Amino acid sequence: MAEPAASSVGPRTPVVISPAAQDALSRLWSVRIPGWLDPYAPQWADAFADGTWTARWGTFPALAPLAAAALGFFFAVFWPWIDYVYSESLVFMGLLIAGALLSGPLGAMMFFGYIVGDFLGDAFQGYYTRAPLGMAGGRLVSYILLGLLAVRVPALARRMAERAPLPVEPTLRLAVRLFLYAAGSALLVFLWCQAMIVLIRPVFTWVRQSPTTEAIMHVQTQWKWLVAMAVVASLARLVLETTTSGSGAGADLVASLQQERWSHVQRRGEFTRRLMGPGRLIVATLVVTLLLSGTYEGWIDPVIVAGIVVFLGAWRYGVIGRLPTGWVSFVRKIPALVRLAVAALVGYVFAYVILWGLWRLGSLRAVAAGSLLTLAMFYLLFPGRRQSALAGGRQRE
Amino acid sequence: MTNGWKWVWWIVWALFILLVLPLVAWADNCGSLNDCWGTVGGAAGGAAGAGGALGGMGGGDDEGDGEGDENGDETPAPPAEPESEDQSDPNPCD
Repeated sequence: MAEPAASSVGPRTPVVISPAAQDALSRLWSVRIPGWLDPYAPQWADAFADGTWTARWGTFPALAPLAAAALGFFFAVFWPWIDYVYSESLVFMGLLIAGALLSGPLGAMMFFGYIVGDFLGDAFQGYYTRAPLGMAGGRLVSYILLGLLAVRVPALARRMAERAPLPVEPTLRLAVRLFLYAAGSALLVFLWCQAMIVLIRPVFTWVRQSPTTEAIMHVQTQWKWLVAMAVVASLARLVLETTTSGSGAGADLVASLQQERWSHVQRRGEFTRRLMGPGRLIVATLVVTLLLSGTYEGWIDPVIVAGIVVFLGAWRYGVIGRLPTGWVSFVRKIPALVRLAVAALVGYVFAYVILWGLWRLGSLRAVAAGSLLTLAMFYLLFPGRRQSALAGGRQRE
Repeated sequence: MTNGWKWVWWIVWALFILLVLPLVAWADNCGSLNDCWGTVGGAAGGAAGAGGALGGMGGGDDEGDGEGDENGDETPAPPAEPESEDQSDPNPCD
């Protein structure tokens, strides 16, 4: 595969670093890092490769991921409004959403920068020596949730916009894509904010502290700002990407980087494919059980949740039965954005019924029950690959 | 035991320790449902959001293994024409 030419740097690009260094950085974000990550974490590889479209702009996008990492580190270590966890800062979450939606490497590097700063800050202050397991467990939950916002939300929003049936007429096509991308981003960020209210609690409860008001307040009452940021960033991304596309050296560079990124596609998921059936089910169960730990009130709770999640996962992977072929075919004709909204809405109704009945008990277990019912709705409306393959009468393995 | 399974057991063991061993203060702060939300609707929104977050991440499963995603769709392929307007393939598996 041909190397991107140094001449790809546009003549009007401000000279901050040499063209060779600029091309090396562009290849690093768009080709090399995705290549390293593809066997182990394809979603993260995609997040880095997501910024390839900005390569045409030269120096700024080449250096921006480094600046994003520095920004994440700065927020974790120096930002005075973050005492315990990132959800105490609306500004940090807003910047992360904007960066991740505009260009994948920005979100991913800001995420890594934050984690490094957060870990070092906690370690130097001795928090890990006082309650190492509780501290590590709570932090792990918070990092998984932050990773969802930095990588998963933008990827899902983009996929929903690109894979929906689109009109042929160019202007209408762009308008529909804009709507789908913005609406998908908004809905996903909204759901993430609602989830954070309860899922972030282990950061505090696992070290025997009370959640701070600031850690909950922003996602519970000021989520509108984050949703608005997601809408603006996704619209800006799509408009910029569309209007700056075309021919010329910049377009050639982008095309070259994209082709090079996919030249080793056979290694994609090489490691994760080894974790067949039971292994993946176990990992998935433990992660879900860990994430729901903010709702537990006793030792039996994680056991029950793990049992339910194993059952749901086994069903989803087609280990214990399969969905009717007609249902799988039917739901897969429905745009993912609609399915997402329906799953969340039906989950809300189910959760409302449960919570209404158990409200007097004041138990967070009702929230866990509602969450698992919503998860079941997602599995029903987003059948797993194996379910799809079974329904389609074919198996890939 | 293959390398893949070794990794699985490492992850399982680490998460087991995190889940079981610490003397966790189970929800003793923001200690009740009513402290976290003032209304049933608010709590239901939180539950739906939590379920959505778990569902959105593939149920906690890193499903992006190069063979597709939770929709049964194919792995994204390299664009033949990166700037083409006609990139959408709504559902390759259908």
